[in-house]
Amino acid sequence: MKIDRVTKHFGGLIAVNSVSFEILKGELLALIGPNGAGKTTLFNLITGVFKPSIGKIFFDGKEISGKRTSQIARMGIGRTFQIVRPFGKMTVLENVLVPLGKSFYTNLSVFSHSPRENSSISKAMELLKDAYLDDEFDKMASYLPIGMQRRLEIARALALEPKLLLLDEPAAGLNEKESMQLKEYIEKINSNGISILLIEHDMKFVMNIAKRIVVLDHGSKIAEGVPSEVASNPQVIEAYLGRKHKKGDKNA
Amino acid sequence: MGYLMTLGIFASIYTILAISLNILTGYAGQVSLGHAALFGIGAYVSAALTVNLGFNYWTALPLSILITALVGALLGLPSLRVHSDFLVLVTIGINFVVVALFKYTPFFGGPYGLLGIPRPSLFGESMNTFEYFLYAVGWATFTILFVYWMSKKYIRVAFEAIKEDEEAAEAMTISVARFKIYAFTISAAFAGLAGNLWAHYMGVIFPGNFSFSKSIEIMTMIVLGGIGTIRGAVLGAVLLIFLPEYLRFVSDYRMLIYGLIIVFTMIFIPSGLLGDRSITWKWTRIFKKGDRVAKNNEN
Repeated sequence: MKIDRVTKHFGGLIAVNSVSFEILKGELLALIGPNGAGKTTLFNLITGVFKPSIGKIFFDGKEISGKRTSQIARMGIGRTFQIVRPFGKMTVLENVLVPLGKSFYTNLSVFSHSPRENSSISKAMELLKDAYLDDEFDKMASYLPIGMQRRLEIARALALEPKLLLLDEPAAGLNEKESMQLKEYIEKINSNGISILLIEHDMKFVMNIAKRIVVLDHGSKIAEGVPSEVASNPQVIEAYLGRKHKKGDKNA
Repeated sequence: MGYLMTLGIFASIYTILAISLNILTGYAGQVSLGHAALFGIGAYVSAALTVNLGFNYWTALPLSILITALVGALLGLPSLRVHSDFLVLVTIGINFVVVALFKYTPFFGGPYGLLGIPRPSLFGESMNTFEYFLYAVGWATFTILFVYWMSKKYIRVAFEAIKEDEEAAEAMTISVARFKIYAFTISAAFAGLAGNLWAHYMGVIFPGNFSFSKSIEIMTMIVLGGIGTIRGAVLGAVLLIFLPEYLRFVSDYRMLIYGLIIVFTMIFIPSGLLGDRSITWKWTRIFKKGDRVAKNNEN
């Protein structure tokens, strides 16, 4: 996946300013930056929610900028949302059955295939097991605590068998235990060869898990490198860590 | 007896209408208050084909369904741009426009409507009321079975997903545009069928038969019965066709009663009489709970 000098403006506001970077196969890359740095906008550009004003995005050698979200998802990019968005009125199991219909949604076989086939259910249960959610399979998704909803979203994205997984602040609002569980889960996914792009505010979480970090500030990329490099970069400290410390470093 | 038969025909036609609106609103979440427009298009197309152009009923039937489905697909286009409450306003507007088109187009008979619409004939003889009753019930049964079958397939999953969260549905590879158009098309096809059955039973149709208040009536049926379920749509249609005939005072204040039903159902029993998680099931919850515990233990 390659992001090539991508710019996005909304009217006069430049949300993302000529940002380029690459995610290598099987890599776990974190995208960090203070609030309003343009991280989520960049996510939305990658997933086709917005179209870049300038610049191009490539995935697997093909240009994806300008394609519809559903097409991009089909090409192998799974995502989660900053504010969790499971299908709240479906059960946990049903949530994972939705993406398992991937090959039917583009043609008339949606009329002939049932989500209740044993093969789909066992596949879904397997995904739920990996997410430590198999005990909750028949609960309504909106009734789950936030940590579980987060993992459900990831399991749902994994059901698409993506090559790249985009995680938008997966650790936000989680307690220590949930956060540990999530870290384990993400590392397991990554070790299965799925590349991961992670947006995260929780610095401790990022430093622990990311192999490489890209830092955004005011829409521009200000640093890129391994965690230790980035953490000692004065520009980053000023833009991100420095300001956080003054406020009392609520993420520490 | 003939009168009861007529009510049975109406109940069948409204069952088809309610189920068709349920596909659009209950399954796919696209609230339409202009469903009578599609009902009217089915009726008018079939009437015009047979009366004005001399088509045979059995040719007019598939044509009226097909044309209504195509118009439905077109009318679905605004839903790609506007959502929820705005879409409701658009569908109301469409209802008024369609009725006005019937009213001001001489080909459609203008305000006097179309007369002399033939009954379908079977073996050279046109159907009597009893035969037509069986015919209508047959179509209603077909509709129920078809939609039931459809509701077990992935198409229903896609509808459910776009109803709950369009952005998440897209992330799950479901093209929201495609499935909205599917919902409008399938829903319109059945509304067209209902229109055809109505026109060829009544023998005469007026623009006023398909006005906005008719759309409210159809919506009341699915809200009362339980939105999102076939059984609810059937119950709502049957109740609202038969009740006014037996409770005369209801029939005098039809629109008032419909309004009140919507208001009170929404406030006190939002999932209707037979919807999922409705009061009817709550009363039988004890048995169900026992069931569920047993099931969980098995797993």
